[in-house]
Amino acid sequence: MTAGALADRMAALLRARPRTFYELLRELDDVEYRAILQAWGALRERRALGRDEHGRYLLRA
Amino acid sequence: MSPTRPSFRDVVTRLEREGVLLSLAKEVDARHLSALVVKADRPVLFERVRGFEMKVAGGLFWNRRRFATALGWPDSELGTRFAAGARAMIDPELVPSGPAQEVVKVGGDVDLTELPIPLLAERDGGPYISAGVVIARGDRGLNAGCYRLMYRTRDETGIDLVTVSDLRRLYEAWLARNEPLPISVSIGVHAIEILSAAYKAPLGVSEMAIAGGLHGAPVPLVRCRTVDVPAIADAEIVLEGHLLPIGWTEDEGPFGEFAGMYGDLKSNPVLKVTAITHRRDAIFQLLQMPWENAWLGAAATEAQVWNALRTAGVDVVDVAVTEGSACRWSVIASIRKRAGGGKNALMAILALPDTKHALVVDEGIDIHDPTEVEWARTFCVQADKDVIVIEGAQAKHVDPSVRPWELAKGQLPMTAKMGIDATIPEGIPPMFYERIRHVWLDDVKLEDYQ
Repeated sequence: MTAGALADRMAALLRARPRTFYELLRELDDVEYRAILQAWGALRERRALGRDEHGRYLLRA
Repeated sequence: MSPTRPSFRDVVTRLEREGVLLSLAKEVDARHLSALVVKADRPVLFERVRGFEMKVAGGLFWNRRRFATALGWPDSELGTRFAAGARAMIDPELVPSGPAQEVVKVGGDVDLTELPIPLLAERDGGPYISAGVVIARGDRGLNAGCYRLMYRTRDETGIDLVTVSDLRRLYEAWLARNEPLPISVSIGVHAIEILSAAYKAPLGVSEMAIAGGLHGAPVPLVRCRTVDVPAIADAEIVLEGHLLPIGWTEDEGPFGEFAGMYGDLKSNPVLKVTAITHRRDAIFQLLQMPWENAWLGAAATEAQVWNALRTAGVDVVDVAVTEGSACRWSVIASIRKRAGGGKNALMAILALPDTKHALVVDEGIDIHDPTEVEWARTFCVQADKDVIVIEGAQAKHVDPSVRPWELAKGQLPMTAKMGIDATIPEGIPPMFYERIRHVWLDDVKLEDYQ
């Protein structure tokens, strides 16, 4: 899976509900850690990430 | 030629030789680094981390004994060694090259995902580089400090610059000119260098010169490839880059902090990484929160207490911070008491800005033995006579008991400080405190019966 495709998967998870990075990691147990770092970087570069009042990540509308 | 001092690599080798390092040859998932460091009963070297070429070391400073072992000091001498070394400063030495630059990646080749940056705590805002010594060039020389870096992208991290620091002051000056501040981040350096960087040195005093004093030899620095700042020449890994002039605008945190609780989500600047250099077989060091960070403050706190007590004319025997107080809020001291000396000692200790609780005992008490300390607190203390409380003293936001959320913006918190004089009270004959001594203790050997 490319970093872009994995970033899409992460975005879908965050669209469903706000999550901590740890919760996101737990959802992606089948993915290598380094691939997650790469995809997380790609997702951040889209400038679409926001936070809720607890510091959890969400997708900006 | 200047004398040399050991590097981080030398320390890891020494710990391995002494049998106090747990080397794990089995491949580990980087997700599990944090938990494994917490569960290990000694420092750990992860030789194979899935998806990464670098090894990882963690847990070197997890408690007093491990921290002292990494420093190469007796564990009862953290404060006294720090005080003596800090007075004997030796300036760092610029060297032409160093192992930290065996591999150099610049520009488009910069990729922070080559580093096994771990997620440490459940609510952390992301993976964190926790063992970086940040060096910047100030008006009065080099400034070094320890700052956490939150992974953002392949060439960006967040950096916590909320608290007042020399680096923050520098950043504010460069921000006012709308210029990026060049810095280096040395990861995997000798414990003395992290300890010195974590110390809030007086203005104009170089933390790397303090490190030189503690080593008895200069810290070797090497010029960075892409920024006009040096880095520690034999570090395992160096990040070069700029703090972007964007101010406090980007999300950073939460982070499980040194006091064992989470710090809030913050707005902070960003580090743009322009180069990553490292040893060919680099070891990534992780500092596991809270204790590995807390112990970094222990030596300086104990040194301050020694100085305060001596200045107050107290005949001090030993000083120790307590781990549960993040190695700075609670202090125990043993003294050779003159009449009233217990209370004098308490006032001296509590005058220090970070100290919230102080306990003073007589010289016969081993302050590193909780049972001995408890004995003194139980049998030498009358709460109405031997406990002093000072209201309205300086505090820190990180302590929830000062209710920082109730403060108006810009208002500083205050705290009540407590001192307990657990020395034998004046007027009670020492015979009442005579400790039992078991018969034939010096004459009988257990081995003779085994």
